[in-house]
Amino acid sequence: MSVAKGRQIIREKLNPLISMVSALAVGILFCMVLAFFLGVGSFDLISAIWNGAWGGSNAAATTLSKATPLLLTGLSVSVAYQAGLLNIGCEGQLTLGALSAACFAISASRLPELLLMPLTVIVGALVGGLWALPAIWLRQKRNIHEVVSTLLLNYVAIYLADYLVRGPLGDGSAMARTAEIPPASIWPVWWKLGTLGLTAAPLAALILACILHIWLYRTCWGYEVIACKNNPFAARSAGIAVNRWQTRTFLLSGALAGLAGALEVVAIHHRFYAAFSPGYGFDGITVAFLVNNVPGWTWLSTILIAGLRSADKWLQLSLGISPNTILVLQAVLLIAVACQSRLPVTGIARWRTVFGRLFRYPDQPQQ
Amino acid sequence: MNSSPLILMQSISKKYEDLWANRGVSIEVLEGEIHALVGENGAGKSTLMKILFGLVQPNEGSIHLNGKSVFFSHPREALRAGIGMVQQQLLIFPELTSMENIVVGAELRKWGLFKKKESRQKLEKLCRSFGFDLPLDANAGEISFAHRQEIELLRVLYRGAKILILDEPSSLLAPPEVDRLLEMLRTLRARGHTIIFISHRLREVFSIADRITVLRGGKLMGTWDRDQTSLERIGSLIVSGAEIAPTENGDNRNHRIATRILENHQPETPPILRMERVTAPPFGHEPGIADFCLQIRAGEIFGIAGVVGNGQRALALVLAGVQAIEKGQIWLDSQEIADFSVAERSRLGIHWLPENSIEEGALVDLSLWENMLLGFQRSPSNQSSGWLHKTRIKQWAKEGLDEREVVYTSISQPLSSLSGGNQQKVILTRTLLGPLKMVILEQPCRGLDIHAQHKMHMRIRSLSRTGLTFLIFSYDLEELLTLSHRIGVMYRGQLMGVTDTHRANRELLGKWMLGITE
Repeated sequence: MSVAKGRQIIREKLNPLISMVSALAVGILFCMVLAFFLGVGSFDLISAIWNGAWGGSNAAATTLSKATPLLLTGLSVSVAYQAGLLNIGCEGQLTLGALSAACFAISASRLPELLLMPLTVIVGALVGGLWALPAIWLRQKRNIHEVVSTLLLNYVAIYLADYLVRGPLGDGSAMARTAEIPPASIWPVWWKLGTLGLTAAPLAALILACILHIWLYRTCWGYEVIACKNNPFAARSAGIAVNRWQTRTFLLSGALAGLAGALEVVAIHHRFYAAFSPGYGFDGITVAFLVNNVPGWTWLSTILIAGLRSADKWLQLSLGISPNTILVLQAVLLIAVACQSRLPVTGIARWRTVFGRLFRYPDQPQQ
Repeated sequence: MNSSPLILMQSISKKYEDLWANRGVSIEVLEGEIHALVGENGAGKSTLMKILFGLVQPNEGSIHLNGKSVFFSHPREALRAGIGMVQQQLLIFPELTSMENIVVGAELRKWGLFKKKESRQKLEKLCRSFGFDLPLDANAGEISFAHRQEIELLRVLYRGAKILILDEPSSLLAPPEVDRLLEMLRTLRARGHTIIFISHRLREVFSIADRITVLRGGKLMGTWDRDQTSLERIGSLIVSGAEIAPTENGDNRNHRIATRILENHQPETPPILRMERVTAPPFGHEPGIADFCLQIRAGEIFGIAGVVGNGQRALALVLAGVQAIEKGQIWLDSQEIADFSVAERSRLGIHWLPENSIEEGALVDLSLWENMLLGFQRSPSNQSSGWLHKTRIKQWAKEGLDEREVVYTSISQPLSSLSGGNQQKVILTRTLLGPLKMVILEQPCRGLDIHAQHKMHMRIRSLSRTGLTFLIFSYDLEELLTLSHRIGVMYRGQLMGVTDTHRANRELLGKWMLGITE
C-alpha cells in the first residue's frame, strides 16, 4: 500500500510532464489529420516541424533565442496563477518593458558598463511591473476581474508604444523604431551557435525559473502564496495577508514579462520597434498552462512552443503551407491539456467520468 | 385505506466506493400516513430517500409505486409520479422572491413568457388551503429560516406532489417553529398526502409518525406502529454500541451531564473575554451584530444558541478577527484585541473552527502536511529565514494526526483524497494545536455521527477541565444543553439572554430564540 502511495506521490510530482507528453501525443495525432486535409504527407509535416525547430545549428539557435521571452512570459503567467490570478497582459507588459529598457539604455549611455547593463534590464522589469499595477489595483479596490483589465491594457500598451516610437522616442527615420542601444548595454554573444550565436539570456531565464520554483515550493512565503490561491478565505482566517500577497505576486508577474521585453532588446534586437512582440505574451499563457503552471517545468513547454514558433516559417518554405498552421496546433495542445486538468482521476475511471459527467445526473455525495 | 402499500421499496442496495450505504433495505409506505425514518447519521436514511426520489440510482433493488414497478433515473420523473423531496440543505436563491423561488422551473407559461398573475393566484390558493403565511414578495435571503423551509415545502406541493419526503426538516428550527411544522404536516396528512419524515429527534417522531422504520449501518432494523413500540426501544435500536445507552430522549442524559458539569465548575473564575457594545456589519446574507455585550469566564464552555442567521456568523468572525468591527471593545484578559489581526489573535491563543470547516478552512488540493501548516508557517520551529523545514514539519504533522487517529496513508497525499469526516478531523486537529486560551467552534458536530459526536463532546470537556475556554455555536439546542456550562441565545444580532445550563428552561430558551421576551 505504501509503495503504491509512494508511486502516486511521484506521479503527482510528474503531473506536469505527463500532461505535456499526453498533450503532445494528441498534437501529433492531430497533425496527421491536419496533414491529410492540407494534402501533405503526415510524416512530412511532422518532420518539417522538427527540422524547422532543431534541424541544424541555425534552427536550434533561433529556437533557443525565442525560448528566452517565452520562458519568462510563461513564468509570469504561472507565478500569477499560483496566487490565484490570471495575468494575460504579458504582451503589453513585455512591450513597455522593452521600450523603456531601450530608451533607458539610449539616454543613460554615459553610465559605466557595469551599471548600465544590469540597470537596463531592471528598468524594463520595473516598468513591466508598473504596467501590472492598475490591473491589480482595480481588482483589489473595485473588484474588476484582472482578466478583463490586463487584456485591455495590452492594447493600450501596444498602441502607446507604437505612438511613442513613431513620435517622441523614435530615431527620426521613416521606420517606427528607436535608435540602437549603446554597445555597453548589449549582452555579448556567449555561445557560438550557427550564424546568430546565443547570449546568456536563455541561461539567465532558466536560473530565474529555478529560483522561482524554489521560492514557491520551499519557502513560507511561497506557501502563503499558494494558500491564497487554494482557499483565500482559509488563508485569510489563518492570518495570511491575501490581498498583499496577491498584489506582490501580480507585480512580480508583470516584472517578469517586462524583463522578457528588456532581454529581447539587450540580447537580440538591440533596439525597440513598433509591433515588437510577435505574440510572446499570449504564448506565455500556453507555455504556463501546458505544464499546469508549475514554474519548475516551464522550460519543457518553452522548448516545445519555441520550437513550434521557429518552425512556422519553415513550413511555408518546405511544404508551402501557411505558418498559421502552427497556431492551430498550439491551440489543440492547449485544449488537450485543459481537458485533462478538469478530470481528477486517471485510467479507465477517467473515461467513465467523462461519460458520467456528460450523460448522467450526478450522484450526490453520501451524507 | 387498501391493504397494498403505496410505495414498496424492495431489497435496495447502494454502494459508494467500498461502503454500503444501503444493503438489502425493504420498506413499505402506506397511503395517507406519516412514516418516520430514523437512524444515526450515515445509517443510510438520506440515501434511501434519494433513491426513491431518483437523485441516486441503486445498485440493486426495485421500487413499486401503487403496485406498479417504477424506476426513476432523474428527480423529474419522480416528481411526475407525484413524489417530492425537501433536501436537508435548503436550496434557495437568496436574490429571488419567495414566489419566484417556489415556481422556478415550473412556471406557468404562455408562448414562453412567464404568467406571473396566474402563477401567483395558484400559489396563493395553495398557501391558503394549507395555512402557510409566507411573505411572497420578500427576497428569500431576507426571510426567516422557517419560512425558507416553507418555500421548499411549497415548491414540492406546487408541483403537485402527493408523496412528500422531508429530510431532517426540524434540525435548524427553534422549538416553537418545530411545533408549527409538525402541525402543518398533520394538516397535509389530513388532506391525503403521504409523508416520509427523516429525523433523529425521537420525541418529534413519536409525536407525529404513524409508523417508524429504523435503519442502522445501512441495514433495515424493522418497521413498527408507533403505538406498538416505545421511545426507549427505538432509541436502543438506533445506536449500535452499548456504551451509549438509550439516550435519544435527551432529558435524562442532559440532566445527568449538567449536574456533572456543575460539580466541576467554579463559577468564580474571572472573565477571560469581554465584549462591550460591539457593532459589526453583516457578513454576506447573514446579519451583523449590534451593541453586543458578552462575558465569558475562563475555563467554561459557553454555548451560543439561536435560529440560523441571527448574527452568529458575524459574532464568530468578529472574535476570530476575520471581520472588522465598527465600534465597541473586545478584551482578552486585560488586553484590548479589537484591532488585532487574525495572526496576532492566534498568537494570543484564540483559535477558530469555521462553520463549514472544509470550505472555509481547508486547502483541499494541497497535502495533509500543508493543511496542518496553515497558520503555523511562520512559527520558528517550522522555518528559518523563510526556508521551510519540510522533514520536520511532516514529522510534526504526522504526530498531530496520529494522536487524533486520523486515517491516512501518507502525509503527502492531498486532503481531498480523505473521506469527509477525516478531512474535518484534520482541520479540527489543526485548530486545537499550539498554545491555546480560547477556542471558537462553529457547529463542531455538524455531519458527525453519534459516536463521533460523543467523542467530540468528551474531548471538549476534558480540554475545558485543563482550563481552556470554549465558545460553541450550535443550531441544536439539545447539543448545547448537553455540553455547555452556560448558554446565550442570539436573536437578530443581539444577545437575548444568558442562562446557566443546569437552570435552563427549555421553553424560555425557545422563546428567546424567536425574540420573545417577557
